[in-house]
Amino acid sequence: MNEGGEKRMEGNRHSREDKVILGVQVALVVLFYLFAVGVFVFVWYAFYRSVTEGDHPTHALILATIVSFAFTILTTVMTMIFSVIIKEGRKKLPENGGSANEIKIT
Amino acid sequence: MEVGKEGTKDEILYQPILKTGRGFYILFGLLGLVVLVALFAYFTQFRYGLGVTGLNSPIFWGVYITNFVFFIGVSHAGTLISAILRISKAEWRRSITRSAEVITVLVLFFGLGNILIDLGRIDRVFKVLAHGRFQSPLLWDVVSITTYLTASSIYLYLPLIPDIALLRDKVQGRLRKRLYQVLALGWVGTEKQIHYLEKSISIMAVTVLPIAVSVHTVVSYVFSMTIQPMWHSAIFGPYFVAGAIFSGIAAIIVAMAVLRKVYHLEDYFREVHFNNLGILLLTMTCLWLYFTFCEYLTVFYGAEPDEIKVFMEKLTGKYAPHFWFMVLTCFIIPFVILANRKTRTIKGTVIASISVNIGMWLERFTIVVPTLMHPRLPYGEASYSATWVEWVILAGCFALFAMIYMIFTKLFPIVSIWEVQEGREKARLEVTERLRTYLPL
Amino acid sequence: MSRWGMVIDLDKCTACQACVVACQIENNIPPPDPREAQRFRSISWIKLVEYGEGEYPNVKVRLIPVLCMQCEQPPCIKVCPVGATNKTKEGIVDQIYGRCIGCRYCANACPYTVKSMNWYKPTWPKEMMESLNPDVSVRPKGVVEKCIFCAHRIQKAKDRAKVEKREMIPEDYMPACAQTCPSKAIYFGDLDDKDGIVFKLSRSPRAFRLLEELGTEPKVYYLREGA
Repeated sequence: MNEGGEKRMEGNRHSREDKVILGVQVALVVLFYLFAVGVFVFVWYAFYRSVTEGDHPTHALILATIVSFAFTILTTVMTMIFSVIIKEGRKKLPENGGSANEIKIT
Repeated sequence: MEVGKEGTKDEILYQPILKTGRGFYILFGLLGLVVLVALFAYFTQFRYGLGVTGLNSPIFWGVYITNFVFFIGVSHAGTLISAILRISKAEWRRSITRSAEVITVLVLFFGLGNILIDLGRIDRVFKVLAHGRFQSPLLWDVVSITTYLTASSIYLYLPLIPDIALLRDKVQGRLRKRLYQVLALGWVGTEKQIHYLEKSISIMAVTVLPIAVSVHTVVSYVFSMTIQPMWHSAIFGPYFVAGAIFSGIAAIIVAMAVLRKVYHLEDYFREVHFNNLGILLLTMTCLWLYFTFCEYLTVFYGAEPDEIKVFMEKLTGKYAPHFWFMVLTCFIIPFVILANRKTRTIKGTVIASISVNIGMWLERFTIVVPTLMHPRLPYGEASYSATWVEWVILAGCFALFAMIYMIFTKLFPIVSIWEVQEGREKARLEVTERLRTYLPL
Repeated sequence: MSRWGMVIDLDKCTACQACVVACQIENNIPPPDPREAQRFRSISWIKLVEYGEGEYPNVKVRLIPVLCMQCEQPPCIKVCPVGATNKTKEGIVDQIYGRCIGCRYCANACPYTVKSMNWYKPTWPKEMMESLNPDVSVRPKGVVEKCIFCAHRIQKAKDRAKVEKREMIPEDYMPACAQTCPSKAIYFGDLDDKDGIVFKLSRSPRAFRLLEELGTEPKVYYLREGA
């Protein structure tokens, strides 16, 4: 197996190990998206059903709207965090091999 | 691997992650046994039916629903401390936000879990997704709790990122290092990263507050949206939210006291933290008394026969011991301990907090059962006594919660290291600047 | 479309509980285990409720048969998360056993407390298994049940009418309790049929409904005693 992949300097800027880690990180955020999509689907499907069955569509509409609004904010935050932090972290790659030497809160 | 000079000051915060003592394993094992017995109890219920509990007709809800409301209530711990104190820029929050946020995320699962345990047909739970009706307050519960769970998980994770990065650079074990590498998202502390992280945390702090308020409000709506005597009350929304914040603060105090002892965090969980939380707890106990008094006085003066039957059951009837013990543990004991500066010590606040948690469980119980005991039609006296299954499952919930919490402390720092460091390095200037904007200095 | 309702004449009711027994047999309601009965677990879709006043010897007692009121504004339907409790087009508050998740919210929301829960899997003594009604499903454990005005008999009535090559008339369909009552105290029929007995009796000055002030609009009327 690949030992000490971070220290590899020639050829790849990003070692295979880093690619795997990136892959898992992307998978995490994709899982979150799937979950958020699931929630959207659930609430709007419930609204659709309430309209077709004539079963208090107002309740379903209000709740679907509120939940969609909340989950839009949450998805935006997650996207922002994952994209910015991961991108910035990878930019620093050549200097510190993918990991921080020191946390400096400036 | 170099750890900054400042890092050695907080060395003790890394210790639980780097080393594990025998005491941990013993406690973990004992708790594990409790959980196993609880699993057996649930298996018994799953196999034979809800008949193994003490539930009956007309008392269709009992300990499980009480647990549900209680645990969801405790989940307001993280929100109050973390979000409100962050927004109000209270510096003393720095060392305690993490432990509070973990309580929130974990305890929500137990709230959800108890509802599932209470179902007659848990195998049909996905019908709620396929056929859910939003006219039912239970569906409002489903979406509200899901949203809150997601939001508070994110809210726990975001401030955890820089700490995970610190761990990533510190630990040697390969598996652990991988875990931290993945979860740290490549954090190195660049200006852009810090800026976006802080912005996201601020957004989350503001977002999570209305979600948290909505959660316990809709839990209260499960009761208040029916027309049952002493359930159908307008005060339930605010009453439950206040009660949730109340039991949440109490839970944090207990958790902090345990962590302080076990991980030697005396420098981070100081007298001042317990004192401040104690004052908050004191405020909440007065608020609790106010709401309870309003509720019961209204019922008493209204003198509606169906409501008075329930009222008398609570004050002088079969549930009088529960009711008055609740008043003792929710108000009298905490007030006496916390109102006096001399007794508002760490030990004092912990005793008050344990008392509050017992009292709040009893409060939920005396809301659920006495109303159900008195149907409007004269069916005759009913009674409810919980069986071993229900009590064991409650014990199992506490044990499993503790176990998962313990695992968390072994993987991540229970005190937010970077926020403590930030406080040490930046806060003094910030606070001085702020003072300048308030007063002529 | 019919709107099924019931009128119970309390002057004629002798509180013999034949309706209770008929309902148990018709609807495959399991006989309660004596221990479980003591723990308030017996299921009965119709029961005699005792309204008592005064102290001995000046006691006044009224025994009123209480069953599902089949409300027009049912509080139970409002709270069901999955729609297992629902209202048919003919006004019967129906229970879909296959969908019920056993949360018992409807049972708690009903102000008349007429819903029952299957705390265990319903069982019968071996000898009684032969006499189960094949038209009514046996409920599984963990679901809520209640009186549905013997709605399974509607389909039977329609089928019988079709076989006899005629339209279904209201008298074809009658719940077990109404059919069995020895003093004919229970009237059953279409509340929208202005010529029908049920409509006429529901407009009687003796007619009252339980807990009317709650706005549930029950479709079970009672005729006051002492006419």
